[in-house]
Order: sequence, then structure tokens, then C-alpha cells
Amino acid sequence: MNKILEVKHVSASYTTQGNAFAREKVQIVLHDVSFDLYEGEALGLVGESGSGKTTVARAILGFLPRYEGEIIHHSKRPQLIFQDPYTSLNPARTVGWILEEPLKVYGKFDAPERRRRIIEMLENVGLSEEYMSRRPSELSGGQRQRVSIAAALIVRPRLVIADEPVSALDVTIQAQILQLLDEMREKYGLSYLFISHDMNVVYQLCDRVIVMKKGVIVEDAPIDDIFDHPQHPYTRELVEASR
Amino acid sequence: MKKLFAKHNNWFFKAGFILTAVMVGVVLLGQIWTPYDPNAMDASVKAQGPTLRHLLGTDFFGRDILSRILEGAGATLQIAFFVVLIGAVFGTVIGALTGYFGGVVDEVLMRICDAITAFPSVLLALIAIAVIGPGRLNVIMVLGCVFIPSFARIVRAEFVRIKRLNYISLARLQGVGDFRIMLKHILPNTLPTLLPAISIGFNNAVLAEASMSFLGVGVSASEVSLGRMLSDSQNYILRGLPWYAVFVGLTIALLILGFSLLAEGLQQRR
Repeated sequence: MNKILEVKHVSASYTTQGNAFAREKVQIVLHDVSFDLYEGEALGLVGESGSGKTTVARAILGFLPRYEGEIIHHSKRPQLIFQDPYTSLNPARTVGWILEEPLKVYGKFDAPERRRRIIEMLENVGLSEEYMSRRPSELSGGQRQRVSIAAALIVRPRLVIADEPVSALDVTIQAQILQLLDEMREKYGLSYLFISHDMNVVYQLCDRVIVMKKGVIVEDAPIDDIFDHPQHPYTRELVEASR
Repeated sequence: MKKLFAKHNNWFFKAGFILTAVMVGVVLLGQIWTPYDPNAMDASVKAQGPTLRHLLGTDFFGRDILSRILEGAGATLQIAFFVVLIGAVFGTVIGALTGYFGGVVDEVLMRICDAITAFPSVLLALIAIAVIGPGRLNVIMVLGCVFIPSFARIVRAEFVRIKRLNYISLARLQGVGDFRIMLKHILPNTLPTLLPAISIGFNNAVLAEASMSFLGVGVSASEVSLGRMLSDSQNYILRGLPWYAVFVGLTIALLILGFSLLAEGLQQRR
């Protein structure tokens, strides 16, 4: 299988500003993180808050100004789906505009083609053409997340990073969105890097899981192994907690 | 327009909108038609109070005060419009660039804004006018420059806040360029803050013009404006003819009240 992303020995830290009462401190957020992501794979990245999983995503997407190590992309324009569907859509714009913007910037499609693609993508994520004229404030959390997914997929990326994409949603909506993500993976041959703190959610979507704790990868194994024979005590803890 | 009404369906907005629309409408009407020629003197009706022929009375030269107020308010509103236009456009450009990019330019420009804001705006404008001389165009340019910092500050704060939001990160990931992000993604989201600021700006500009012309450093002596008329009307009060000052003052008050209510209404939702 072809690699779509290689993360090699990535370390990151930040220095807290010192003041009269506290000396400046170097806080390590990632320590020697390495993993590969293969084409068509859904890789879960699990850990408690503060484990550095979001920092990994930020480094991969180029939002982290400084880190050591190397990240090699074998695909163009990886896209991101945020946890909070309330801040990930521009409130001043309509759904149609939000979906058209990346196509406009891409610049290769004329207006009718852009419209055709928007409608197609809306149908893909289970929304009808009428949603084009709606604004985010008129949508529910689940609908917003569907629009976020459509916006991420409309530029036809091969790698999508999803940062807790269902954590802000009700359990029933969670299942629908996870199913949608799974369908999209098959349809477009996507690879996912799926960040979550919830083993149950990861189990529903991922083939392989990386467990992180305090900036270090403690376990990297296929999903069934993680659940059946967790090696690291922390993994065991997470699996136990999800039962 | 319909959307604005739906969003700000409150008492302040409605009252402010109606008052502003009526005042601006009457003043605009005054540009094409006034009851009398504002400069025509009529020796038979010198210094009268309100009569049926001259609704707001006449001045020492027998000129119709209503006609003069219409003309003067036109000049004042014209000045206010261009002052706010200069302040809002340049303020928005400066605020957007500094807020979005930050860095040294941001620091320098914001400290300059701090320095300008440290002085009362009318005082600053008085000094500038004292140097370059009075006149309508000079007043517009000077007040316009003085108004830039307040707009720049408001727009900058909004850009700093919005550029950190997730939808801007996503736009960047999708390959949208910096200037397109500023113009198409961030700017529309500053409107709920910018519109009330523009309305208050009108308010302040009318006041600033009136104060400056009142003090004799606004429009030149041959021109009419509300401030200049208010200044002239002082002589009438001393001679027991308060009408002139009352009507001019009332016009200024109503204009400002309209803009203030509108600004308040735009800030409140429902």
C-alpha cells in the first residue's frame, strides 16, 4: 500500500513566558512522534486532552510554526473537519457560498460546473439543493457538520484530518455523521486521520489506532488488537473506560 | 434593507431610522426647493418670530430662517457624509491590514492612533484648521483624518478576533489568499460592529462641524452651516429674539438624536 503521509520523529515544545513569580519553562508537547498513514486507511489518534493529538494535526496542516522532525505529504491539500460546527462555518455567508469559495479559488471550473459540484456534494452529505441559500445560523449542529464535511470534500482531497468531529453532537447524530464519514471514505478513497478521546467512536470508523499520552505515542496497532490485547496500561485504561 | 429590519426589530432602530430618514429627506428636499431663496433679503420682515409666511421667522436681514436652516443643514450633512466616508474607508483599510497581519507596522500605526485619540478630536481639528485655514474642503479633510483612528481601532479589534476563528483557518487550508480572506471572509463579519460605528460617526461629525463653525474655524464666513448659524444666532438671543437659536439648535439635536438612536438600534438585536 502507498503511504499518503509520513510523520518522522516530530517533536515540539513551547516556552512559557517567565515573569517575576515564575521562571520560564519549556513545555514539551510532542516527543519523537513517528507514524505512517496509508492510502484508504482510517487511522485513529486517541488520547486524553493535553496528550498532544491536536498538536500533531496542527503540525501536519502547517499551523504549527515550529517543530523538529519531518512531515512528508504524498497528497495535495489535506483538509480538516473541526470539532465545533458552530465556529467552522462563516456566519455571514450562505452554505452555497461557503461551498463555492474553494472551487472559485481553485479556479478551474465555470459557474454552472461549480453549481453542479456543490449540489452533488450536498446530496452526498444528505442535504438537498435548498440548503444552498441557508445560513449556518439556520442549521442544526448535525446539519452544520454535514456542511463542514461537504466543504472539506469539495476540493477532492485524498487526506482528511478530523479533529473530534462528532464530540459536540448528540449520540444519535454522532452515529449518522460517522456513517457518513465511512461512506465518503469508500466513495472517494479517502484516508482519515481521526482524532478523538472516545474509543467507542474510533472503533466505529478506524482500522488502526495510535494511542498518545503526554506527547508520546504509547501504542500503534490495528483496531482489533487494541481492543483485544491492549499492550500499554494506558491503552487498557482507555479500553476499559469505553466498555 | 429588509434583512436589517428583521435583524434589528427594536424600538431604537425603528425610531432612529424614521427620524433620520425624515431629517435627511427634508434636508435633501431643501437642496432642490426651499420656501424662499436662503439669501434673499426682505426689509419688510426683519427679525420676526414665527409667522405664517415665515414659519421659523426671519433674521435681521429679513432672510427666511427655515430656508437658511435647510441650506445650512445640507452643508453640515454633506461635510458629515464625507468626513465619515474618509474616516470609515481609511480606518477600515488600516484596521484590516494591521489587525490581520500584526507585527511592527501594527504596533507603530496603533501607537500613532493612540496619540491622536489622546487629544479631543475637535481640538486637534481646530489646530489643523488654524494652520491650513477654514473652508468646507479643509474641514472635511481635517475631520476625516481625525476620524480615522476610531474606525481603525474598531475594525482592527474585529479582524484580530475573527482571524483566529476556525472558519478562517479552513479558508486558508482551502488555499484562499490573504487579501481575499480579509475582503470576503472577515469584512462581512465586521458589519454588525461597523454599522453602529458609522452611525455614531455621523453623529460625531455633525457635532464636530457645528462646534468648529460655531467657534468660527469651520466653513468660511460666506457659507451657511448649522454651526455658523448657531454662532450668528447668539446676537439674536441678546436682543430678545431666541427663536433663531432654538430652531437651529433643535435641528442639530434632532439630527444627532436620529443617528444616535439608529446606532443604538443597530447594536441591539430585537
